[in-house]
Amino acid sequence: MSPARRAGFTLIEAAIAIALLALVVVKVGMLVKMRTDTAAHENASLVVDDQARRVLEQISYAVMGASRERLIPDPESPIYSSELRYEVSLGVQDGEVVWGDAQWIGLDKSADQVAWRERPDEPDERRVVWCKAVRPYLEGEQMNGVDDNGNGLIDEKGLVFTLTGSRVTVRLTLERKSETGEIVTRTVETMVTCRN
Amino acid sequence: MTSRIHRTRASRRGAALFVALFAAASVAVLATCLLQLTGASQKRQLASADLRRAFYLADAGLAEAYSGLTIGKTGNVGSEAQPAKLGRGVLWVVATEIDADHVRLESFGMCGRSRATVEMTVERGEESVATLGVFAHQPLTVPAGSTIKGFDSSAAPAEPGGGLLGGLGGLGGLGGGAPPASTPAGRLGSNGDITLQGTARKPTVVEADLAPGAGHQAVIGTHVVHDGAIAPRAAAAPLPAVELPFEPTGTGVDLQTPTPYVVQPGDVGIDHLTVATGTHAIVQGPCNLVVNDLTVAAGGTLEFDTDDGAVGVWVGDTLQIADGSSVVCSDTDPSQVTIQVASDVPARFGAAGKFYGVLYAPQAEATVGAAAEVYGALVADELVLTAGAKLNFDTHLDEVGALEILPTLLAWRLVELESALRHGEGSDPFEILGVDPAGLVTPAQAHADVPLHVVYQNLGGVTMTYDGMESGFDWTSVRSVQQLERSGVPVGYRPASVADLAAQTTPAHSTAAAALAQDPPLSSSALTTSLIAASPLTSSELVRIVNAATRFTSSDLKLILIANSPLESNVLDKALIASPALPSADLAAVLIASSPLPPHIVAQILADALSLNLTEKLAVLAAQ
Repeated sequence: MSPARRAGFTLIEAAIAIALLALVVVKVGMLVKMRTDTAAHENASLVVDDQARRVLEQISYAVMGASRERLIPDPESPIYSSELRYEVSLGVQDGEVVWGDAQWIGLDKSADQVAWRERPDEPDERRVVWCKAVRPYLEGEQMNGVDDNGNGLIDEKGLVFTLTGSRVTVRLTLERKSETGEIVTRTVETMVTCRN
Repeated sequence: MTSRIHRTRASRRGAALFVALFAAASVAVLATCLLQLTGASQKRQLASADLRRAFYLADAGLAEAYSGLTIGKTGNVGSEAQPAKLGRGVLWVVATEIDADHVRLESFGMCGRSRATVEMTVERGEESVATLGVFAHQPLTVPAGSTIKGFDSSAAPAEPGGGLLGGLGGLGGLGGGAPPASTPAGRLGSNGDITLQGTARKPTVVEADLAPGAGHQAVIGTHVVHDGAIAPRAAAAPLPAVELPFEPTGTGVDLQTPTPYVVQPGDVGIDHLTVATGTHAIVQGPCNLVVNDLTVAAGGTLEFDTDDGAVGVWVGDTLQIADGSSVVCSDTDPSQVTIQVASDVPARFGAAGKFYGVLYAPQAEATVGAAAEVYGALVADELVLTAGAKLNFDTHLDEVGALEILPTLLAWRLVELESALRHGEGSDPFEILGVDPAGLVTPAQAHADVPLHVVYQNLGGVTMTYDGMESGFDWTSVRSVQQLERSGVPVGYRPASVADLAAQTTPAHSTAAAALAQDPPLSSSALTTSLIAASPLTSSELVRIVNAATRFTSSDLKLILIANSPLESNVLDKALIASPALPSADLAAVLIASSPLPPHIVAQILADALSLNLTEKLAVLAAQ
């Protein structure tokens, strides 16, 4: 085999190899992108899920210590609302229950974030945002005067409290875009009984 | 040429290595990132789950403490040094007496590295005096011709065709109405003597348990039919004074016309209500009527309409319901009508007809007329019964009273939720608190020990009395309870069965508890013989034995402990640290028998925390 013949064969071989390599690289790139998109979506789902559950727990622990008689809106009338005003017990002194300052949980002015406020509407109000990315309306619901998602509530917001006696049902829908632009939605729900 | 080929090959080998290393490094980095992400996520989820578990444990602690309060326990459950174990976590409750009526329960739950604290303040319930039955603070005499029985207003009424026994058995059967299906024993008590009198022409029938005062007796005369138990009270029953819920500021009412006068539902306070002959007053529930003087003349009628709610009547001064008057109740549930007399002015209840209710006059002499038929309860400072009176105690009032005695929740709050505790070492509560999980008991067993007084029937049907710490009492030997007091306070809540009662108390451990609870008590040597024969004993039994160390001589206690060696850590702790009941020589013998000892006990020996002399200390250490 002469050196010239060997060189020609090497060129074809190299061209085929480059073509195959390019094909493989493209395929691998597509695979990686697909996997990355999936991972980003899963990650976004996990984050939203984690955040929704954490906020729901925060709300539960706060409402649990509330007084049934001091809930606003009044739980005697079946009602739902996107905010809840309550007071928690600080203990008993001289046989009388001592109540803490008024607290408030609800959708803040921007309507897409859950906020907790102590001494609401007073000059020394304290305010903490518990989470953002609240969906304008609960999952499956639209602003059309109809109960779209079949939960008995009409046009309810992304955070809604349903009051029945001393029980408070909390529903929350968070929604955010993943890195790939996909919308990730997560709805959580719990029922809390006011202990006081 | 050869050298160029070699260079090419060498170059290709190098490139392959580089690519391989790059690929491996990339995979390693990706894998590490993924692992870290997953690990962090798992840690967060685990911490969140542990926090939730810790909260549930703390809440369970509150429930356990509350249930303890309902049966006369202190509310303390375990302690930080010796918590109760539940699942993979621990809990303990600290009860603080705020005042005579209020108790604060602070409950701690730990799981993993999370801790939760919740707090509850409760108001103690009051024992219903209605459960005393027919009761007088002064000595009580039942005159000839009287009838005292029991009934259960909650039982289904007997069917009309229920036969002769059914008709006679039901109290209502004696006078029509809706007779109950069965006749449980009534209840007749006093803080003094009880005397039952009868004559041949007027025999007295008492189908009731008799409870004379502590140190007093029941005297049953001739021509008296008595069916029921006789058991003196352990202590005098207190009769709390009556307080008017509000002042009777309204003017009085004197009825003159036959048109019924209706006392409207709600809170009504008037100076007096006088129901003259031929007139009719109706008190319509739900109503709280406070009146200074309540008088019903002969021929007058006083009616209680409880169809829509209960009626409570508070009399500030005089209660005079004359003989020949009538009383009417719309319901046969005595818990719906209560008449309370606050003064010490003698009261009279002479109305004919069936009065379904509770009459309470703790400071007054109450006279019951011959035509009166009381179904419910009657409690007064002094009871004067007229021959022919029919008094029937409603056993359903026990259930109503059991609810009243339950502590009431005043306030609940979440004190603390702490995830990933920083103080202390360890990854679980046992390591963090430095306790041995094997030595921990369940929450039901972790209630603080209390003095117990119980009069009971044992499995052989013999009436026995036990006075001592509850940990030394064997509930499994109880068939029925007649009296139960914890810390000197009667336990008003009566479980449905002895099995329930046993389930709510510290479980007894057959051998040790039975031996320790023998009545009359066994001597130290006899106890030791029986316990050694029953060895090996459980840890709980050994702890119970150590708790009752005063029942043994030190050498006997040593023999029992050595017979059960090696002892578990909690028994050693209890025996050697919490209860220093053994002289140093015996202590050393027990330690040697249980060697090798747990590290914390060795540490205490080295730190001279135990009362061992140098020789004993060396001997114990040599055995390790």
